[in-house]
Amino acid sequence: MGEELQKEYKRINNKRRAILLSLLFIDIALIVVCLCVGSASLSISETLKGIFKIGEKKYSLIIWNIRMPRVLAAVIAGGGLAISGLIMQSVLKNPMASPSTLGVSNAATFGANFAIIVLGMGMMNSSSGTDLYINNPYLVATTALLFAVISVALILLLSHLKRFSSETVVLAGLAVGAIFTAATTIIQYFADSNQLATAVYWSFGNLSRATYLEDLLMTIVVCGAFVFFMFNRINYDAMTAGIDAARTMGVNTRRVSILSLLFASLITATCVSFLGIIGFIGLVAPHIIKRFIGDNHRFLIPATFLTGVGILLIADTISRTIISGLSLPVGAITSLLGGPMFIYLLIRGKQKNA
Amino acid sequence: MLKVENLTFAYDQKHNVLDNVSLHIHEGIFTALLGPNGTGKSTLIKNILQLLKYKEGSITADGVDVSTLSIIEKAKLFAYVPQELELGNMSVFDAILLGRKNFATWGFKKEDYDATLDVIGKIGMSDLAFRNVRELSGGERQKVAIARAINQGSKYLFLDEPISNLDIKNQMECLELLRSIMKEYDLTIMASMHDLNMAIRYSDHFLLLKDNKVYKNAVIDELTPEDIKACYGIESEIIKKDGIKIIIPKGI
Repeated sequence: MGEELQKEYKRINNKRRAILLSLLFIDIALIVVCLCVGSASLSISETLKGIFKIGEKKYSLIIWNIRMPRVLAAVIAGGGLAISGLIMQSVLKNPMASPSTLGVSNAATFGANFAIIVLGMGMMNSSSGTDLYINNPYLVATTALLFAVISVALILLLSHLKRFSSETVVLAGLAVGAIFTAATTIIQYFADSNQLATAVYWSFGNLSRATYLEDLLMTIVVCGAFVFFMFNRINYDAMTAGIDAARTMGVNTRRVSILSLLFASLITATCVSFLGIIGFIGLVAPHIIKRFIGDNHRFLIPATFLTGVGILLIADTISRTIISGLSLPVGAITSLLGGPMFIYLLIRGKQKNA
Repeated sequence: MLKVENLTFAYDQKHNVLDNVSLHIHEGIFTALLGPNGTGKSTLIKNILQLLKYKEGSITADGVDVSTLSIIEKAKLFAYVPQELELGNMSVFDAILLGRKNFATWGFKKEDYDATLDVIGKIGMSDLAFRNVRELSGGERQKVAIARAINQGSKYLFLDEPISNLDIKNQMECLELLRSIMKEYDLTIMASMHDLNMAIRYSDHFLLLKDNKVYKNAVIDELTPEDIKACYGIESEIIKKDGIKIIIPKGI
């Protein structure tokens, strides 16, 4: 019997590996598609030539100077936001937890608004109309990051006082988010139209803002967090059995929770600071892939990452093709896809409790 | 031996849920933790497991102060089956494997998988090993939680109302299983219970709580109708039929 069970276990793990591999191939295909699409439409062969710098120089210029930083941003931010949401859900044991519902995004938005309006860091380039011009994008990003971290600290502190019940954390996140949104409204009220336009435009999630340097910074944060999450994968599995049970199994639940939330928030804060609000990926990606993999974080973390990558690449392609000649904010597309999903989860959650 | 001395615990400042509780748990026996609702049975278990922070008192295992142990050391000493079972969305195998968490460094090793297969065989769940725990019945889920706890290789096993949500057959199966694994793995078991008939049938000792204090801690044969009257406030009679002791509630 033992041997049969071992074989069965291997078969199941191989199935999970196959899911990971398929996701990887889908993502690679999507990357190629994403590199093809743009104001100058390239064919697949032109794109591939451009990627490997064979043939005409103009293709490789388009690919490597214009499109690659953006596609890389989609890969890192999509995957990063997805695992950020997954870990928030696992640690808080709440399927509704995500960067957008915990107030982290709202706090980052406030930080950016504060930098643009109060510190006078941004203006719209009036000649081209829609071009966002920020005097010092790093200061804006840093301020956004700072407030995102403050919001996380606030939520952790509030939940700590209430002994870390997951409902408390999500409610605290909601409250903190509301406060930051209100504060954003107030400073926007006192802004002039130019600053206001810049601030609002900033909050539209937009991947084309990314440069290689920003991609690199996001990669460092996302990779660091990914390694940390993978290191704690058994702890997250154990925490699905409840906080008390996990503790008696040998998990330092408090330390794991706080550090995991910090890393998850850091990913969100970094991505939001550089790219603006890209909502709902952190909520939707984990829920899609959990149906196939269950609560096994050894596979769930990489699979969620790859799913998030795929979603953001698709959303980005839609945002650039749905109205020809115009690129809609990708954040609006992800929220448009994510909103209905959230409602579906609410309805399904209700049924389960009834 | 597990010794609890002068333990006092309160969730808030005013009311002590455990008031100067002292008790001994001898090794290799099954102790039923008895007492009406709200006398602090779950709270006592959680205090022993160091899940709650007591105000005063001490808990020692073989002379070692339990509160000084690391989380992993505690996991090697105590295992726990909570009242509200949450098993996540995973297979029986994966759920039971998690019991080996306190042995894992970076990941699970061959001996962890082997131990898990062994436990699954012993509790008779080989056929269900790769079924999702969500598809299991209440009795089977309880077995998975117990198997996970055994897999920790701990010396003491605490269960919070393990049979309260089970039908009578599953109650008996669960308690029979506990008795057999107690011998097999050399465990010391404490389980809180409401069903006094199951308690006198399957346990060796009992610990009766009343008004947040220990009322009596003795071998199960010494449970008397007077004790039941004093703690639960009911008249009862204890009879023996076909070698089985039965408590008959007579009136309030």
